[in-house]
Amino acid sequence: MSKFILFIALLLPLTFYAQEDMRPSGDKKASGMFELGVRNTISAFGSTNNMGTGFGGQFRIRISNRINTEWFADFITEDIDGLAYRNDRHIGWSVMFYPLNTQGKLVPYILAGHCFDYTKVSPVKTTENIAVYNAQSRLSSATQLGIGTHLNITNNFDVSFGAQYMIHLGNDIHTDIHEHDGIKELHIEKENHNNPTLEGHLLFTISVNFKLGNLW
Amino acid sequence: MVKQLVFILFFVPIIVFSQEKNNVVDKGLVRFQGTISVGKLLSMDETNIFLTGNLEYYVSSQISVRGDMFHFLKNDENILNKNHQLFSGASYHIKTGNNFNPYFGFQPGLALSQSFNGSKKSLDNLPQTTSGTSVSPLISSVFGFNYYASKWFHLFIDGRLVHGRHLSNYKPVSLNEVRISFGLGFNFNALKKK
Repeated sequence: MSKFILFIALLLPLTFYAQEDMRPSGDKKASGMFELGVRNTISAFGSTNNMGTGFGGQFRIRISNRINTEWFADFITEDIDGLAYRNDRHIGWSVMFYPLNTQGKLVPYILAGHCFDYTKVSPVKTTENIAVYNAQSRLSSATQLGIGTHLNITNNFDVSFGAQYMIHLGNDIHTDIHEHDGIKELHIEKENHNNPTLEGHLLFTISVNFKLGNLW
Repeated sequence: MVKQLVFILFFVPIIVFSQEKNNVVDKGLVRFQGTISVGKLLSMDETNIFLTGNLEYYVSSQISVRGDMFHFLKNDENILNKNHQLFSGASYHIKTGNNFNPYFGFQPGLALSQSFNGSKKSLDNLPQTTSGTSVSPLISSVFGFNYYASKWFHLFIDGRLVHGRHLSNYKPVSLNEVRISFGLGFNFNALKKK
């Protein structure tokens, strides 16, 4: 339920700014700008309630004064209570809308996009853990929605801060930990339902980006 | 106290000679260096030693793009067998109007890491086995300064905070670390002909 409320809350800005003119402005300077950057991602509030850390990169191609596109790849790892670890590989794209100012020190944006991911959960061997279960993996597709801001340090360089909720559509992999007489037992299960399940997480991203030039 | 005094005295010539007129710090400046780096893990009493090198390009007098590599040299104290790291990112250089060039920056990175079941010292005579090798994302911030003594070389002190976690089929190991390196680096301006 709380995830649903969060999802609706993220959608609200779109309602407010739906009346903005989002057509390409024809601004020659902004349109066609190619940017390249690297980033760190923190994954939180996922199904395991642990926090993941990610490394990735992105490039951006701005298609108009108010619309930018971001193409990204991330590798995220997460420690599951010291008993298992989860690796996520994300590749996807987002469209970024600039509803307020398009220039200046701070340029806020709303983003929405798609992502494909590969997830693998593997057990850890410890003395207090019986890891009799094999690693499980899955492929899934996802959609994301979020907000953020560019902090333009110079005309050619910015630091961007973003928060986005990403919801995955695919088979769920979940981990359960049971304790019997002080010995923990780890279950890693992949649910092969006929009806796929939804699994979401909140991603916080900080990136550094260089504007390399206009493509057109 | 004596160490602190020596440290301060060491920096006096830099402050005195940082009034030079020919600014090396400019767009197009390329700097590179190779040196030894020492790190202290924040979660356990272990010292890490690395061979390190970096390459940096100034896209303006205040912003640079930078890549760093660290080759881990393990010793008997270490619980990690491998901890090689790569970083890329950007730095912001504070304008001083001379060749003393302090900076801070942000560099995401990756570690190629492998852990032992325990350090050689802690295991005593038990066999030491290794986990699978894994790739671990890292978050890092850098801070320090370069002093451009001429248009060809500079001295530097570079500090780094690293946050990460080695996850494998063995117990997780925190890669959180504070690291320092210093030495002589080389530089030239790729855009200026003279």
